[in-house]
Amino acid sequence: MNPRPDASTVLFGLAAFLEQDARPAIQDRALSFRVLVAANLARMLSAELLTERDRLDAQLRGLRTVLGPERVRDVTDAGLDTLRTAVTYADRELAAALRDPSAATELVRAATEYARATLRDALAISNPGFALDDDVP
Amino acid sequence: MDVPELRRRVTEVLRDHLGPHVDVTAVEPLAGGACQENVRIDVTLRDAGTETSRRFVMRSDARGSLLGSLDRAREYEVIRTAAARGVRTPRAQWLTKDLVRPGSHAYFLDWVPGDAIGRRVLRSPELADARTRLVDELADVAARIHAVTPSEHTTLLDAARVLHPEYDPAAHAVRELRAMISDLPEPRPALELALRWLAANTPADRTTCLVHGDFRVGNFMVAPTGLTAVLDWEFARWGSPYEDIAWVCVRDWRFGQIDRPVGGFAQRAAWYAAYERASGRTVVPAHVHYWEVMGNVRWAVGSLQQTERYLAGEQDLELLAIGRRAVEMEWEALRLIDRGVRS
Repeated sequence: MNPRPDASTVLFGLAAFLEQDARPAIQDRALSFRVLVAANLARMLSAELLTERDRLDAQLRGLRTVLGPERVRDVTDAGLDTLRTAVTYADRELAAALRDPSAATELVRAATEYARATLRDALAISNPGFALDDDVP
Repeated sequence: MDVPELRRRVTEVLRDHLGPHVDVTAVEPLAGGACQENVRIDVTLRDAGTETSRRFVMRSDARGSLLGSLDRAREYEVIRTAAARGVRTPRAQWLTKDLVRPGSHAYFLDWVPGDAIGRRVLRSPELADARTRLVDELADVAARIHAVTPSEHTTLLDAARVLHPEYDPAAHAVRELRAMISDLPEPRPALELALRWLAANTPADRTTCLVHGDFRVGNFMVAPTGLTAVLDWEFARWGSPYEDIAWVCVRDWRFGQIDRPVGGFAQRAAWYAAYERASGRTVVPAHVHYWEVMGNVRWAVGSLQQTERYLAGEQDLELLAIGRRAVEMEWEALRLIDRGVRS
């Protein structure tokens, strides 16, 4: 049985309640700020749940490009837990490769492209207003 | 310890230093940090029929500490040294031991008027005039801090470690961050890339001096008259003067005013020129750029460490939330590396 509403919808509703109903009734400024933090967390988690599969798929594809398909198995058809584990494992391999001062320039270039794409996806969830452009002084 | 007992003990300490006619009228715990607890102390001094009120902040060691942070005894020495150089910071007095808990140190700071909350410092209409003076006032403070050298203060902090002629503050910072990143439970390829760049691009300038270590909006107390104090010395250390010059420019410390790269209140050229006037040193924008990348990496790692504190049992919502923000600093570090130097 799939629960209705799903977890993402519940979290989105919780965020709306905290921000629109609870927060205006709070006089204490410090507590009001923390309620805002809680609302933002709930909204972010709601978006994370909706997009997790796509983001992990993209990460795994990126890691297969950087490290090579022979080092990163394609598990995009597997369950979420398997996919998460595969991405973490490959990220760890990539991190280890980047610690080697003699790592190939091509690896570093591809890893930078992968890292920027992964960060861009994460920022779209955690802080959609974050300016990504190069004009930031 | 409960507040009545703390009040009794504080009264004892203050009577030792200020005389018997001291009454503690308020003991109010303030927001603290991982490494220190702050308590507002109000006192009344009676002398020959007159009464004077005074206010202090007592800072004591907390139960925990953060990697690289000072305990209160060493922090006290740093503040006294900086104050002797004319740095605007609250006067620190009466270092004591065992006051709050056995083995821990505490001292008393003079209360300083003003506001240090980042968004208010940057946006409050009452502080508009003060903001126009901040660049010069902060340059003066930074220059005075950076005039404290390990060769003149051989017993301050771990000066012997940095007195070696080959000592390189950038290489040391890279080693420190290497250890911290290796200790993180999850791999962070973006941090590895940034650290790789930092290791390969250490600046030739190896000037080593006292640095505040958290020189940013949020630690600047500002009143309508201008800067009243620089606060929070727990990350003071021997390092490159560029660490402080760049840290105030780190994007997260602009509190949303990203078009003003110096703390959200000024442009880079004005900050560099003010620092050059105050210190007599030349600011090399490439070195600021290097240390700004370093600052973003340091703060990304710091954010991730804060989340680990939550997971270790400190039930603070902000600690829980901040780890998700590490990606902002990681993005900024890679963006700065890719973009290169801007003056």
